[in-house]
Amino acid sequence: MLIEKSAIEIAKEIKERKLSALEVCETFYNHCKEENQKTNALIRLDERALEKAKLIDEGKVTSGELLGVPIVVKDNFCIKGRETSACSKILEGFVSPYTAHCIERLEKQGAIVIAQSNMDEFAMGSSNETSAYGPCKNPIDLTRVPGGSSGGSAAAVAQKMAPISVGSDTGGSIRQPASFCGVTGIKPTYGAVSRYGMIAFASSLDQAGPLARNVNDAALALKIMIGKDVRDSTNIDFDFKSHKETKNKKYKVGIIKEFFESDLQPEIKNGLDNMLKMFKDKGWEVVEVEIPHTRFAIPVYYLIAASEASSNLSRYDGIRYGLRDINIDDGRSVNELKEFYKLTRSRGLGNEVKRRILLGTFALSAGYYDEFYIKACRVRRLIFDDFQKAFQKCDHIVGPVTTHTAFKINEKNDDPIKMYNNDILTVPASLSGLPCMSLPMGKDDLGLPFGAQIISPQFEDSKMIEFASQVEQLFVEGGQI
Amino acid sequence: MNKKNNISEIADLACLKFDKLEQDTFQDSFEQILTFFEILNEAEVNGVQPMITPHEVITTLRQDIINPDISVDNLMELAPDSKDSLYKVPPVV
Repeated sequence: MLIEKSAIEIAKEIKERKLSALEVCETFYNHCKEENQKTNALIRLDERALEKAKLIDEGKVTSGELLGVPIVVKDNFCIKGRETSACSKILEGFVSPYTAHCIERLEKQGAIVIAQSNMDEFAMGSSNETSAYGPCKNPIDLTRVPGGSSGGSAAAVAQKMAPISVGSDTGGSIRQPASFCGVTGIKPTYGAVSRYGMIAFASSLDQAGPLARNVNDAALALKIMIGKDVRDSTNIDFDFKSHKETKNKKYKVGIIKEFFESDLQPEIKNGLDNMLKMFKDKGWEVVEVEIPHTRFAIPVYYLIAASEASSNLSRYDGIRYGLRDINIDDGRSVNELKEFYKLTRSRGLGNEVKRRILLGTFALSAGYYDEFYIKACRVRRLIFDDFQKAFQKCDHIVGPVTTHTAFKINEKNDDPIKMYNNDILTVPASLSGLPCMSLPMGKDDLGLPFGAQIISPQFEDSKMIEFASQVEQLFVEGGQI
Repeated sequence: MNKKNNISEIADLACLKFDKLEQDTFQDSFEQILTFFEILNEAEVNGVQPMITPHEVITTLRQDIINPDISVDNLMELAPDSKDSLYKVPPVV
């Protein structure tokens, strides 16, 4: 079936004229319409996709590594001429006048955006329940969350709505939903992909990355997304080489003591044990490493991310774009500027976003700045240093992505700390700007998928992918996935 | 600190507005979160330089060239209320 094909196969067959780009696009487009009724993974279909596909069939567009491949894009990436809202009411009606750099790069290689996906509002969430468009459901079990914040992007790939989707990861927002939905998701080294056109949440943490059904497709998308862009001052010009299989390399794999000692669901623990046995059988060395400051990672992450968010989201003021809601009860409009801001922001932003803005405003305010924000930044360095030491003992680190498989919708909604703790295994790598990814590793007794997390040294994204490709092969051969 | 008073002050700084019920809800979760964050007091950070970003950011300079891709008209169309390329806001003086 067409929807089963990988992105690489589709592009190849379109190039060789064995497949019509329009046929591919129509198939996925119709599949999106049908499948979306189950999960609400997508919030907008892009009808322009079919016109773009026709151009390929007419020979007007002939080249590109993703020629004619439909992709789904998270709703926090600007796409010229399309509404982009980060699933927030405050960006209601905003039609982007430009396209995000990484999406532009994918389009230049022939990829066709067919839809925008659901997400937690402004990427703040781990369950896709804070979206202004309603929650997205996990396609494997519709009573459960797909994870977040890139829940829609992960669900869309799992439902074969597109072979590749684009997500963003601030503290685990690609890896956790990839794990919950049984797909592969990569968060590259901080600075690898330009953030231009990606709606900001926490600027020192946000990174765009791909999700796909296999490592090769995700790797190709990432290779295309990486590229120097002067419009993002944190974007790094580094040489990303496409991975080559080096089958005989004897890897030294690190396992984080603190991750393995966490409260892991038994099936996840078994999956990890099996994985380590496979590594040893292959002659790879497994060494224990320590990240002792892991226990501080959640408060550090939430203080830093909330501080940056409070600053970034101050731009939503109802003046230049998006929602302006200033009517008061008696039909009049407010006529004082600060009250104008307050009304629009209070009516346009959701509760979780408000909670984080409050926290960040507090952490940055006079008298508390050193005690909270700067303190968190100091501990962030300790976590970073822990990883530097760990990588002196190993090539890559492996471990769980989450302690448990997907939880039920509404299960953690009333308890923000319970929800924040869900990110305990993903935020340490984010704080350190390391490349990391989630690779499907197995399923629990209920059939819910879970992933293995791979964390690598900064700028070694291609080596991480090369390693992941071999781990994926081991899982396939071992019948684990 | 008097957290009870603080939440409305913080909301004011953040340009947010809550009714009584919302204020109480946010107050509770805010206090819970701050209590949870007290674990940071156990971290030994003397002499540790704060890490603001994961790698050194080098200021990139580029020519100040007008980008014709996005026109003023294009941007003004996005505004909820504007006139003659100016944004309309309530009186500020």
